[in-house]
Amino acid sequence: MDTGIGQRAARFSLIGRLSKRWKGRHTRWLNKRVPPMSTLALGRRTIFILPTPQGALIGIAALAISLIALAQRNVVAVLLASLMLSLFLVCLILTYRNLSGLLIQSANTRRASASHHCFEGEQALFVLQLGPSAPQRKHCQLGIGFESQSMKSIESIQGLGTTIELQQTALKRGVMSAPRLLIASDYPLGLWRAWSRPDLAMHCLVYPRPVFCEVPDDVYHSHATQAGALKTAAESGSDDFSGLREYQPGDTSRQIHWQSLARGHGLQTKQFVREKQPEIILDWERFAGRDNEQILSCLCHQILQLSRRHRVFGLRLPGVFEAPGKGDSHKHRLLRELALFPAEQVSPQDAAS
Amino acid sequence: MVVNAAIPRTALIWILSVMVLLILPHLTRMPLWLIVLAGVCLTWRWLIYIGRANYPGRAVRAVALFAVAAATIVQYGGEGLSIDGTVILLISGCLLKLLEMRYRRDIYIVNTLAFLLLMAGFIYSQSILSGAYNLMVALLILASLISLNRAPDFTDGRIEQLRNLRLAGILMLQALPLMLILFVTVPRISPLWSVTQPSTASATGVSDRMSPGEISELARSTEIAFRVKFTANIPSPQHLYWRGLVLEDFDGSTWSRNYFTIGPRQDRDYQSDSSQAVLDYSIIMEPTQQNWLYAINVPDVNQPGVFLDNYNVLNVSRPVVQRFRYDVRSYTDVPSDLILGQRARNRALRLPEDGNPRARELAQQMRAQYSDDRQLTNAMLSRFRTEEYFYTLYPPLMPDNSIDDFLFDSQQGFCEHYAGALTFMLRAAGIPARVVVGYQGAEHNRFEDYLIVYQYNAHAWVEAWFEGVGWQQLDPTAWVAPDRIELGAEMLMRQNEQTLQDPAFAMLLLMDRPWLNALRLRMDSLEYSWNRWVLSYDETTQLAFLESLVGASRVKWLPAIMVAMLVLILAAVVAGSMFKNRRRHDPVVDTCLQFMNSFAGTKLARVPREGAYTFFQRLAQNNPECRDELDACARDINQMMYRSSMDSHNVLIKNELRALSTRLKRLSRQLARANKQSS
Repeated sequence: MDTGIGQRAARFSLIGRLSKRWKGRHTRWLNKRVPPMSTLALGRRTIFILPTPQGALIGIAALAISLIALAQRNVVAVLLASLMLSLFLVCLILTYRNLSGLLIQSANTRRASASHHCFEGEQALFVLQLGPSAPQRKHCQLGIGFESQSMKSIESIQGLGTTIELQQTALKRGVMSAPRLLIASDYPLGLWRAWSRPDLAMHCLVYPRPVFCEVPDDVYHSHATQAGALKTAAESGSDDFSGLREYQPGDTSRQIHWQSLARGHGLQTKQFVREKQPEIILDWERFAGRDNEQILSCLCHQILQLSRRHRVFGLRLPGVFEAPGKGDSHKHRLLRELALFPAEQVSPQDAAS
Repeated sequence: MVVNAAIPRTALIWILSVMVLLILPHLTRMPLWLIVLAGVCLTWRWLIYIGRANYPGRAVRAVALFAVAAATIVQYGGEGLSIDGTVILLISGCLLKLLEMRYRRDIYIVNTLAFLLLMAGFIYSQSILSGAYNLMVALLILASLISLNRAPDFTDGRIEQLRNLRLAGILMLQALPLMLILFVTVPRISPLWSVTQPSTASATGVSDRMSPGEISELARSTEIAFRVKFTANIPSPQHLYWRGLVLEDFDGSTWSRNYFTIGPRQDRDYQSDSSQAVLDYSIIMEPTQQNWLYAINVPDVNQPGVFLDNYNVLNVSRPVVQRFRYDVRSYTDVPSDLILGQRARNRALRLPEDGNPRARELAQQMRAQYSDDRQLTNAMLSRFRTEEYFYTLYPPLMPDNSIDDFLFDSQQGFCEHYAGALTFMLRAAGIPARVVVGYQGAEHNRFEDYLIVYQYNAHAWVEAWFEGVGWQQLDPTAWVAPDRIELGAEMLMRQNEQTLQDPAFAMLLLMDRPWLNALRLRMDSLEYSWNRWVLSYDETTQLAFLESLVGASRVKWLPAIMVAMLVLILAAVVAGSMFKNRRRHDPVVDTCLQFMNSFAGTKLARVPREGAYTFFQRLAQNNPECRDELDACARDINQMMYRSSMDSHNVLIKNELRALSTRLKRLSRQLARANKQSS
């Protein structure tokens, strides 16, 4: 009995290995046949077509009818069988034609990845532009998606085309490549299914998942302590009066110190300052003791928090230093660094121990 | 796209109407329980559709399935897998499937069954009417499939249905050319199994037995027996004797065919002196379920499965179960059987031991009066004219000694009485004679210039054998009622009050209005063309057609030619597209790409969509020692690429291109070596 179990296990593993191998071969073949490109017009190389189960049923029925008709020497039935077979073949052409010539264009290129981003665990958004190859062409009843289980259906594409947004869960930070698209259609009768698996080289930048974590108190003062002296930097603002200066054309009447003018000192302008908040450097070292991904998550959370409070902050990672700054583009630059931070390499020694 | 999706309501309407239309032609053949089942299933499905009922449970479906299976087996099981039983099973399966038709997948199953039912309909009827009807049903099936695959527009439902129907029509038209090609070229294989025929079809037309009253019954039918097209002029009506069977055996009341003496005819090369006497025509026969054909004497047919026997009767190896076309050449002036063998002579003289004494007596008297056979025969025939004989469709019944009763008492009869009586008398007088049954006369359809022979043209006549002449045709009816032969059976019916009251002859009354008659003939000519061009397209006609298309000697190469043509067309398409692709290629770009791709797999591999300029720059950064050469190459490539395309065939340019290619190859080798050393 025990040998049976062993055999079964062996067989399963064999099947598993075979299917894996086949999948690998299939992927390699597909990569060669339909290489990645950002704009693609579907054509002979990229469209595959097979009868659907129900199409095969009707096709077999047509063949059976023609056999019976020929055997019975029933000429009208031969006519009917010819009609069915002809319809079956015409549908093959129509289904193929419905996909062929469809222009697909992705907006998520690698270069534009800054504008396409999300956090780990969220849905990455991929934007596609679909259009007919010729203005008078019309493509009907398409399904588009990444897997056959979740397809978006499109009634028709004609004229200027349509824009489609597809979503895929971002599982890992870094540059996420969209899986191969699946565009399928069984228009007009559902007897054939034509499909294409284009790789549009769509990318999306995935930032680390923001995780709240305790931060060392001195993080917020890190820059000051590093500078060695507590320097209160000031920047021009409207909080406290700091002094007067010569009038310059362009100063508003509210800023003019009228009292000085009355005293005969000429036109003087009031100057106000606001106490400059200390610059913050988010330093990798301060978070030591966690594993890399956790640190990145913490840093991500901090960046979002600080940016919301309009603080000036910089970032220091091993090998990377971003000078302090503020604003939306600064935030994204920092997050981008976090996203692209090289993943932890498991060194052979660690693995051995 | 998802087979498990629910069925759109628009598709359901189509499929329900398809089911109703499919069942209608079978209604007369359906047993009562099936009609009830159809009513219940269709009503139930309709109620589900409008939301008044729910799908039946599993128990109900199982009980229904068993009940239907049991009923079918009880009713048709005894005959094995007959056509009728199969069709009934198909219909009931379709009906039951309606009740569990929830998903798109189910619609496809129902539609497949519907196509099979269409085919079943053609087994029973192949007329143009049923063809058109079934084409309409096929259109509706397509419409149901289309509405299944199109998201509804949420506009006016009726407009959408019309649009689906229109699309179905367009699809049908698109399928038409290929259908014709398939129909014309698909080889007609010989049957793989013995063909069963619907049992409901019973033998029609003239039978191989003739007892008094049988032909007159047939003569009350207005159904069509066959249609004839002559290649040359149509002979006058009195020459149109469509010979069917020769009945030789007489048992006192019934004439029947002697099956034991039938054999193929030996001497078959007829030669006619005058071309006038040769008739060429083709006949399309309605199914009779019988083994013989009809033709004018003496026929000759060159068609596999048809042979001429020693009675000059055309026999077919398989019963005529479908419309059947055959081409005949008849030699009207060729004598048959100039020498009559002793056995054949005995058969043609044999009479029952007793019975009909008065007829025998009369024959003996006349024999004594006339010594010459011809004179004796003429005397017998003219007796039918001189005495008070009546030609009627409704003769009185004559139970025993039928010939005596007819000849001397009632003196009323139809053609079979006259033919039977004359043959009896001739045999009694010692002249070999036999009864021939078939059809006489025809109706001319001026629209397609062909003849229609109806069942009421059924006729019986006599053949007698004379020394030096052979078998000669004698028609006693022509002596009794010359109008029957000259004006046709139909005119005779018209003159008879009793006939016109027969409901079957309502058509005759209709023909009084010229436009109705024209319409009827027009319809029939349509049917005839359908028969002629579509139904008779069997292997013989196919071969002839293809021969006329490509020449007789090449026909056996036709499959090979077709395959070769297909391959050629495919090759042309592929080559065309390859050529189209190639023309877009720029030799400079190709050379450049070749260079860039030579780094595939190394760390210097080209990034997707990297331009030549950036690529060369990157290489130069990585390998400063080659910078000068790399820059020079990049510059040259740029120059060559943006040159006017007019020069691209110039020899100088080709040399330049070759030089560039060599340089790039050298660079590639150099860089590869450098990278290997560095790593």
